[in-house]
Amino acid sequence: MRVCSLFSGGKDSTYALHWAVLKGFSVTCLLTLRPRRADSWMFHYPNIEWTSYQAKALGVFQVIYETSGVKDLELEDLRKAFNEVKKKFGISGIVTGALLSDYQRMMINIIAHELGLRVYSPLWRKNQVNYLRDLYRHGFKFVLTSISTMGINPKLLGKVLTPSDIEELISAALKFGFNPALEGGEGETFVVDAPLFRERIVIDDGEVNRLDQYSWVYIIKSIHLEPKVLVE
Amino acid sequence: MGYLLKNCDFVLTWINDELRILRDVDIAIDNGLIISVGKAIEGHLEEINCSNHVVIPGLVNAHTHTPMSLLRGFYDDAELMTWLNKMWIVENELTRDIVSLSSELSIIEMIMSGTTAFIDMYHYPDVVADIASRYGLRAALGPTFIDILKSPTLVENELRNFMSRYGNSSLVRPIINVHSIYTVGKDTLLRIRDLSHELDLPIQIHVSETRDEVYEAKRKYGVFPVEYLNSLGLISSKSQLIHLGWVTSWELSIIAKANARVTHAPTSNMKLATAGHFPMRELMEMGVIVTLGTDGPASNNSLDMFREMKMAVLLQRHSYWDVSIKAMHAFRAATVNGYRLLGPRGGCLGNGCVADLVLLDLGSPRLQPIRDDNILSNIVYSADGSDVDIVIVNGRIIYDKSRDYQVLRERARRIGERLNDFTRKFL
Repeated sequence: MRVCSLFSGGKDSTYALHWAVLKGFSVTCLLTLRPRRADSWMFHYPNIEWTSYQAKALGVFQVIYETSGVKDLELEDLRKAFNEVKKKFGISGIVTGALLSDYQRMMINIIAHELGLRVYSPLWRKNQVNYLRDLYRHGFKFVLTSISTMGINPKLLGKVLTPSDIEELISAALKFGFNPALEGGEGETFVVDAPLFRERIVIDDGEVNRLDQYSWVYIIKSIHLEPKVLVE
Repeated sequence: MGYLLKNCDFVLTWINDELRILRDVDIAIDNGLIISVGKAIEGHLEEINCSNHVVIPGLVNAHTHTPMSLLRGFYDDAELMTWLNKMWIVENELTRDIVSLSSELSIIEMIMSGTTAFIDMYHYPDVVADIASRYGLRAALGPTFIDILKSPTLVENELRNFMSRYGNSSLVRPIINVHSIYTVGKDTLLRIRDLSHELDLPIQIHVSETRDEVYEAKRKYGVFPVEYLNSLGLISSKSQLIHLGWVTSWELSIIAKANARVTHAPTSNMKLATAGHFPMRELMEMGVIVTLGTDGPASNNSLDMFREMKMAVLLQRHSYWDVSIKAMHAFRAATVNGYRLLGPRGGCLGNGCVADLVLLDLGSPRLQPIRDDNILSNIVYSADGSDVDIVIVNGRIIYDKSRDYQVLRERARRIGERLNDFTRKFL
C-alpha cells in the first residue's frame, strides 16, 4: 500500500506516519499544506517552514503546497494537492493525524473519496491521555509552539516536553476542560525527535510572542540536525 | 490397517496451490498416507461411510500455548505487558501435573474442533509432547528461552534432552522456542542461532507484537525488531515469526528474502488490544508462507481454528478497508501453509499426502445451503469446531464424535475441576 502522509510537523501527523510505516505501508511522500494566514481552519500554521528539516530527518520526500488558509478555498487547495500527489507518487491512500476534529477528518475523507483515495486516521478517538503519555514513552520528543486557551503554562513554549510537563498538561486539561492532546487547536507542537528520525532536531533560537491574554506563539528562528545516540 | 472413506459428498483440497472441490469421491488411506482419491479400491481397507460429509485437510494451529487453558478467563481485561506479568505470577508455581492436565484439556478441545497439528510454546514441553502423542495429534514444540525467568544454559540442556527423546518421533517435531527480544538478551539470541544450525531446528519467536516492543528496540538497537533479529542472523527459512502486528515494509522485504515463515494470531491481537493486524496481503503476495494460530487459551480464549480463520479475514478487511483477503487465503493459511511450516506433505487430500483430515457434518445448519460455489465460504465464515465429526491424523482416527464425544466431555469437565483447585489461591 503506497500512501502519502499529511504532515504538519506536529506530534499527531508524525505519530500517524509512524503508525503507517509500522503497518507495512510504503510512505512515499509527506504532504505539507502551508497556509498563507495564521487562522487556517484546516492546517497547522506555526513554524511550518521548518518541516523540511523533519522530512530530511525522516528521509521521506516532502511536497509543500501553498494554501490560502481561507475556509472552503483551502479545501479546493487540498483537492488539488491530493490529486497532484496521487498522480506523482501513485498512492492509494492518505494518512492523517486527526484525533477528534470532525471538520478536519470529514473534509479530508470527502475530498479523498472523490479522488479514489482511502484515508487512514489511526489516532481517531483514541484515549487522549494515554496517547500523550505513549508519545513520550515511544521516543517522540516535541516542543509546544502555540497556546490558544486558558490553563496552559506559557513556560512550556519552546521547551521539549518532559514526562512531568506532560502530566502538567494533562492536569491542566482536566481542570480547564480542554483537550489534553490539544486537538481542538488549544496548542500546536513541533516534533524534534522520533523513532524514525535518522537525526534529531536541535532548536538553536526561537522567541515567544504573546498575541492576547491566552494566546501565545513560539517562533522558531534557527534549527539544525544532529546525529542520534542509541540509549541502552 | 487403512481406511476407505466412501462416498464423501464434498472434498476440498489444494492442487498446485489452487483450491479444488471434488464431489462424490472415495479416499483411500494406508500407512499414514492418502493412497487414492476418486475411485474406490477393493481390498483390505476398513470402509467408513462418509456420505453427508465434507472432507477438508486437517487444520494447523501454528501458534499456541496449550497449558494456558489453566488461565482461560483468569485475567481477560489487560494489555499485553500487564497481562503477561499476571500470567507469570501463576506460572512461577506451575507443576508438571498441572501442565499435563491443562495441555490435555487444550488437546481435547483441539481434536474435537478439527485441529490435526499444533505448534506450542510453554514450560515442560516433554509433558505436552507426551499428551499430544497419546491423543495422536501432531505437535511441534520445545523448551522456551526466556532469560528473565530461566537460565539459558538450563534451557539449552532441556533442548538437547528433548531432541534426543523426540528427534525421531513421527508425530512430535522438536523446535527452539524463543519468547521475544525483550525477554531474551543478545548473547542468548546468538547462542540460539548457533543451536539452530547445529541441531537443524526451526525457531519460533514472538516479534513486533506491540508498539512498546518496536519502539523500545528502535531506542536500544537503532533498528526495529525484525531488522535486529536479522542483524543477528536469526531471520532465515528456519524462523517462524509470530504476530508481526507492527512491522515496516522494509522488514517485510527482509522476511520475504530470507523465506522466513510467519504466523498471524488475529483474535489474541485484538483481545490484548495490541492493534496488531499484520499485513497479510503483502506477505502472501511476496510469497511468504503465512500461517494462523489461536495463541494461548488465556488470550483468545478459544482454540477453534474455524473461528480463527474467520477472524483473520475480518480483521484484514476492517484494517485495510478492502476485500483482497478472502476465505480462501485464511483456509490456505490454516491448512496447506501450516503443513509447509511443519514439514510433512499435508494440507492436501491427494495421493502421497499425509492422511491428516477432518470430516464435517453436512447436516449442520451452519453449512446449509451448500453448493460448490459457497462451500468454502460456509466453512470459513459459518462453520465452527462443533461441526467436526471425525478427525484423522497420520492415518489414524483420533476423534470420532459418535464414539468419543461423551468420554472427552466428561474428561474435560474433570480436568476443569482439578485446574480450578489449583488456580483458586490466585483469585
